[in-house]
Amino acid sequence: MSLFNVCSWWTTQCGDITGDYDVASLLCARFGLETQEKDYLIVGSQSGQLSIYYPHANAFDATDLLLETQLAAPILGLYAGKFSGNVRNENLNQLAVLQPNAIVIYNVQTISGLAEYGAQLKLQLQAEHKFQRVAFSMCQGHFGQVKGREFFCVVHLDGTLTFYEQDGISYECRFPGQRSLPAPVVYCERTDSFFRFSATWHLQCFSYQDLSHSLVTKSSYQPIWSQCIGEGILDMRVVQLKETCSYIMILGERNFISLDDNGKFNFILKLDYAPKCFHSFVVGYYWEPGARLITAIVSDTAKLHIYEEANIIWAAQWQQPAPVAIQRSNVQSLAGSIVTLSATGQLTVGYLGAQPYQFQVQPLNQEELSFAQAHKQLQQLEDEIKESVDIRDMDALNQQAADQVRFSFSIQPEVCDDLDTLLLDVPADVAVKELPSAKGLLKLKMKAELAELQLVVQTPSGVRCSQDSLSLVDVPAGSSREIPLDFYMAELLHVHTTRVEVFVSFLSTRGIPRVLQQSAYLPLSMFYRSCQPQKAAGIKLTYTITSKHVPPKLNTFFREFLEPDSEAHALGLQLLCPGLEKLSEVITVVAAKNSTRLRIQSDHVETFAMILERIVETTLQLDSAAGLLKMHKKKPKRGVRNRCVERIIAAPFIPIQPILHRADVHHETQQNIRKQTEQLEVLWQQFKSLQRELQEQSESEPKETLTMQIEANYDHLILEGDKLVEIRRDEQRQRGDLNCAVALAKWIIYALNLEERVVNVVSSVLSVPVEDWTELSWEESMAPGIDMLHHFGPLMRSKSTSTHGLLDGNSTKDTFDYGRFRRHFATLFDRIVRLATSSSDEPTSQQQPAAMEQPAEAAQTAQQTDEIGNMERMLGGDKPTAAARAAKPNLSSSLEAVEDAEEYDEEDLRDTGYRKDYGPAVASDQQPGEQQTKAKRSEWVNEDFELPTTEELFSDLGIWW
Amino acid sequence: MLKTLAKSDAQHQSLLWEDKQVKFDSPQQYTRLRSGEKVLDTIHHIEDTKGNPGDTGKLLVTNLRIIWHSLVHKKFNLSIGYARIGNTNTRLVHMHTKGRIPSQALYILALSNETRFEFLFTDVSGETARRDQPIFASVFDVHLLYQRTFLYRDLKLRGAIVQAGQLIILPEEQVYSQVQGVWNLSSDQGNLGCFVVTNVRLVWYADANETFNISLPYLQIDSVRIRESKYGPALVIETAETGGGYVLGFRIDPVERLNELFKELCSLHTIYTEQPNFGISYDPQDARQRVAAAAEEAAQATQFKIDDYQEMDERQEREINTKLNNYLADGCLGVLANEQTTREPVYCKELGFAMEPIPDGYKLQDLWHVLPTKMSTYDE
Repeated sequence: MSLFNVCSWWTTQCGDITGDYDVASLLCARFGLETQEKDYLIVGSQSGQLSIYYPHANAFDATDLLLETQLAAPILGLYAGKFSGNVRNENLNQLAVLQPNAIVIYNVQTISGLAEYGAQLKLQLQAEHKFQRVAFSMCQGHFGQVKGREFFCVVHLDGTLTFYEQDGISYECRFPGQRSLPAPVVYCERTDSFFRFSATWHLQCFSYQDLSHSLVTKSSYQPIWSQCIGEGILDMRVVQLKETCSYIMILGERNFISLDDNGKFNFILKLDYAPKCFHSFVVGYYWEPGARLITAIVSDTAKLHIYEEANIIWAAQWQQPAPVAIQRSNVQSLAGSIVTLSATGQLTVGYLGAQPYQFQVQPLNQEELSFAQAHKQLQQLEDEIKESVDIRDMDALNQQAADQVRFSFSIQPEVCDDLDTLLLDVPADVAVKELPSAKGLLKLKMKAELAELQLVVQTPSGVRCSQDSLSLVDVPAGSSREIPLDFYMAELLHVHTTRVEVFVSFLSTRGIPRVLQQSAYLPLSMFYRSCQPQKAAGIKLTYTITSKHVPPKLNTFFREFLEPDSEAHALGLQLLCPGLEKLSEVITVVAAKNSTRLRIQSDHVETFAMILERIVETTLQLDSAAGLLKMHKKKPKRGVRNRCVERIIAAPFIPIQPILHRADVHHETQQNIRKQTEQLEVLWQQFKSLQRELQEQSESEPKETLTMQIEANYDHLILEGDKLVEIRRDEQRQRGDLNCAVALAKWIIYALNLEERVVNVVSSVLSVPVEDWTELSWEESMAPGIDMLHHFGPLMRSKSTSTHGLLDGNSTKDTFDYGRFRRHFATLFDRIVRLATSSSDEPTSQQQPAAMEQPAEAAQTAQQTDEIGNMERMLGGDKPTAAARAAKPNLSSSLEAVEDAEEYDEEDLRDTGYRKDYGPAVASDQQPGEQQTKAKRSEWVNEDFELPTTEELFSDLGIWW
Repeated sequence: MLKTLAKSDAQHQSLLWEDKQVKFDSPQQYTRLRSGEKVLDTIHHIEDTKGNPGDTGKLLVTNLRIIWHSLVHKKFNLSIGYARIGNTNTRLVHMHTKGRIPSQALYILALSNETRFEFLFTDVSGETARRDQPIFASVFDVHLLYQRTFLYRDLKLRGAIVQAGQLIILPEEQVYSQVQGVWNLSSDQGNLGCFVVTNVRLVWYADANETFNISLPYLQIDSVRIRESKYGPALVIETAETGGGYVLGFRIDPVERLNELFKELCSLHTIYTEQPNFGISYDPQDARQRVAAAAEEAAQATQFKIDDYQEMDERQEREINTKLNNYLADGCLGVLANEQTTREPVYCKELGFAMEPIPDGYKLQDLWHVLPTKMSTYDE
C-alpha cells in the first residue's frame, strides 16, 4: 500500500468562526429546485449559524454562498427529506433543522436573478415541533414503507424516541427499566426496523410495527435481536447493498464493524488508528449485480482510509487538521467529491490525488555536491567531534576548562570555636566536646554559558562541610558565586587526612563534559592540640629533608602550634578526636639539632597520617615554590628514582604489625556484621511466617500462644537489630582507624628511595579512604590489587611475565581467604622495605629499629610470627634492638631462613620457573650490605613491567577517536 | 446624464493583494506597506530556517500579512497573507550550529493556489529566557482577528449580516446614512431593499428576505457610476477583481436622491480606499501582558512532550532564495511540475470518489501496490 494525498478543489471558511462544528453539522443534499441540480452543502454550527453553499467552480466565489442565517438555537443536526405530505413536486425536499428543543422544517425556495449574485434563497418555515425533552439526534425514513413521504424519529438525551408521522401526529416511545445513554438510532428500510445502540453496548433491533404499537403492548419493547458490540461507538449508518440484505456499518472507538440486518456479523475490522468519522456508500445500484460497499474512514492524524468491505484499497493524507465530518457528494462539475468539515468550520471539497504523498519531498539542496567541499565539511565535522572527545592533550583541555570556569578554593589556617552546632546539626556527643572548626571560601566564576554545573566538596570521613554539593542548571556566562564553607567534626572518628577536595563538573551548552578539581588542607589545630613531648614511643619514623629550600625546623611544618620564631626541637601533639578519656593519643615530632632529620614517634598508628601528610606535602610545596622541579609533569620512566627523594626521604621502615592489626580488627567486624545480618534474616523469616499464621488463623481459634511467640520474636528481632547498629558503629570507627593505618603506610612509601614506577603502583593500590560495600568488604576488594603486586606487578621477583600466578589465585578461590590476603599484604610491605633498604645510598645511618612490642600480637599464629621474623631478617639482622627481641623471644633465634622463606605461598611454587629464580634471590638475601646491589634488585623488581599508556587503556576499552 | 468615476491606474494597482498572496523577495517589501496596513508587532532575531538559514531577520506582523525580511541580505524577504495561511503552530527546534540549544520556531503552512508552502521561522536570539515566552503569540492573535474581520475587507453576498431587520454593526463602524426604497436590479422583477452607508462598506439588503443582501467594503469597489438603464438612471457599482468583478445595479427614486447618494458614495469611496480600515485593532503591549499572565498559568501546566521537538539541521548549503522549492511542503509537487500536471479530477469508479487522472499506462492497482523505491521514476 502507498499513501497518497487529498487535493483540495474548493474551500471556504464558514461564517461562524467561534462556533464549533461536529459530525452532524454537515449535510450534502438536493432540494429539487432545478432540473440539473447538483448537491448543496449545508453547514449548521453549534452556535446556530446555518449556511448553504453551492460550489460552482474549483475555487470559492462570493456567489457560492447562497444563504447564511443566524438561528436562535444551536443546530444539532441537519436533514433533508420529504417531510411534508402536501407537496406537489415529487423531487422537492425539505430541510429539517434539529435544535435542542425543537425540530424546524423549512421549505427552501429559490428566486433566480439575472446574474449569479442576483439569485436568492429563502427559507420558508413549514413546521416546527417543540419537544418536552432535549433532543440528541434524529433519524428519518419511509417508516412502515410509506410511499411518497418520510417520517422521522427524534432521539432524546434520555434515550426516549419520539416518532413524527403524518403532519402533527406524534407519539413517544419510552423504554422501560434502565435509562439509556443517547446514541444514534438508525432505520433500515428493507426490514422496516430500527437499530438502537443501548447503554449496555448492545445493538438492538426493534421492528417499526412493535414500536408503533408499543403504547398498547408494553411487552413489545423486546428487541427482535440483540448483538453485543463490546465498545462505545462513534457513528453508525445503514447501507443497502443487495436486494436481500442491508448492512449496518458501525464505527466503534477501536473497530469498524459491519452487521447484516439479521444481526449477523459481516466483519469486524480492528483499526490501528483512532477514527474520527466515516462515510459508507454503495457504488452501483443494489438491485444490480456488482454493487460494491465502500467506506471512507478518517483518522485523527488526518488520513483518509478507503475500504471495500473490510479490505483497504486506498489511503491518503490531508495537509489540514483532520476533519470532523465527511460526506461524499456530487457537486457541480465534480462528481464523487469528498466534502469535509473541520472543527473550526473550514468546509472543503476535495478529491483524491494520484501522486503519492511520501515520495515528493523535494531535495532541499539541489546543487551538485562538490567533492572538495564535502570533504571540507566532513573534516570540519570530524574536527568538531574530535574537539569534544579528544582527550590526548589533557593539559590543554584542563586549561580550557579552567578558563571556562574559574574557581578558587581556600581554607583559613586559623581555627575558630564559634561553630553553630545546632544549626549545622552536629550530633550531641560531638558537640559536647567543643571541637574547633575551620572556615573555607569557594569562589566560582563562569566565563562561558553552561548547561549544567555540579560542585561537590569531599571531606575525610568524620569531617563534614556545611555545604557539600551545589547544582546549577542553565548558567549564563559571566555569573559568579561565592560560597562560604564551614568544616567541622561531625563524628568522633580518627581522621586520616586533612585534605579537602572540591570537584566542579560541568556540561557546556554543546554537551561536552569537563571536570575541575582543587584541594586545600584543613588546619592541623582542628585535630591536635600541643602537649608535652614524649621521650619514647612504640613506633618511630624518620624523615630526612634533602631539599635545600626547606629549613628542617619544626616551625616550617607546624606553624599552628609554635611561635613564629620558636626554635623548639620537639613538639608533642595530642589528638582531639575521638578524644577518649582513658587514652590520650600523643605524637611527638623531634627535629634533629645537627642534621636535617625529623623523627616522628607515637604509640598509636592513628596519630601519624595527618602529621606525615603535613611534613611531606609542606616539603614538596616549599620546594616546588622554589621552582626547581616539576613533579607530576613527566611520565615515569623505567629505572627513574622516586623524584620525591630529592626533597624528602623516609627511612625504610613500615610498622607492619600495627597496620595488619587494624586490618584484622576491621575484617573481624565485617565477619560479625555478616553473621549478624544472617541472624536477623532468620529472625525476619520467622517473623513473617508467624504473621502469616496469624492471618490465616480463623477467628475462633485461641491466639494466646501465637501472640506470645510473636512478641518474643519481635523483642528478639529488635535486640539483634540494635546489636547490628552497634556493630556498624564499631565498623565505622575501625574503618577510620584502618584509613589512618593505610595512609601511614602510603606516606612512608611515598617518600621511600625506590623506583618511581614502583611508588606509583603501590600508592595506587593502597588507596584511601577505605570503602566497604555490602557485597564486598575492603579486604576482598583489595585482594586482587595486592595479588597483582605480588604476582605480576613491578614487585614480582620473576622476570617471567607469566600470568599463571595471577589467574590461579583468582580463579581457584571461590571464597575469600583472609589469611592469604594478610600474608600477601605483609609480604608486600616486606619487599618494599627490603628494596628501599637495599637501594639506599646510606642505609645504615638512617634505618631505625622497629619495635613490635604490642603484647596482644605476641599470641598470633606461628605463620604470622614467622613473617615478622622474615621482616626483621630483611631489615638486616643487626637492626632490631634488644628490647624488641626481648619482647618476642620466640623470634630471636629464628634463622629458619631458607625453608621458611620458601614457604611464602605454596601456590607460587607451582610455577617452577619462579622457584628457580627465587632461590638465588633468597641466597643473596642472606648476604649483608654491599652485595645487595643492582643484580639483586633486578630479581626483586620486574623490569619488564610497564604501566599501560592512556592510548592502550582507551583502545582496550574500545573508545574511538 | 452620465457620470463616471474613472478608475485610475493608481487605483487599479491598489487592488488588495497583500492578504491573499504569498510573495517571495519583492523589492522593498517591508518599507512599502499598503495604506491602512499597520505593523502591529515586530519580532526580532528571527531566521527563515527553510529558505534563508543563517540570516537573522525581523518578523513584522501587520494587519494583513506576515513579513519576514533578512537583515543581512536586503533583497531577501517573504510576505505571507493571512488568507493563505492554512495552519500555524509553534515548535521547539534544536539548532545544530547553535550548540543544540532548543529554540522556539513558528511553523506556517500556506496554501497558494494548488501549492502548499511550509515556512519555519526560528528564534535565533539564543536567549534561553525567550524559549519559554510566547514570542509568536501576536501572529496567532492577529491571524484570528483577521479571520473574524472578513467583512471589513471582502465582498459578502447573502451573509448573515442582518438581524431582525437591522444591520449588525461591526466594531469601529459608523453608519453615515440609510436609504430606504432601493431597487436591486439583479433580477427581472427587482428587489426592494435599503442601503446602509457606513465608513467601512456599503450594505444593501432586501426588505422581503433578510438573507438576500450585499455587504461591499469600499476596498472592493472598483468604480461607482450613474448609468442609464432600462429601468431609468441607475447607480452602477463595479466590484474589484478580488471582489468577483460583479456589476451591481440599483435604482433609487427620485433622481435627486440618487445623485445625492452617488456623491456621498464617491467621496466615501475615495476616502476609504485611500485610508481603509481593515478592522484589526491589536495592541501588542496589552496582548503581551495578557500573554504573560496566561503563560504563567500555562507554565504550571506545561509538560514535556517529545512530539513538540523537532530536530533541525540548518547547515545546508546556501541557495538562491528564489527557489521556492525550499518552502514546498511534503506531499506537494514543485511549482513547475504542478503547472504541468494540474488536470481536472474525474470520477474514479474503483474508489467511488473523484480523483486526479492516473498517469497514462498505469492502473490504480499499480499505484497502490507500488513500492516506495519504484515510485520515484514516475515523476518523469
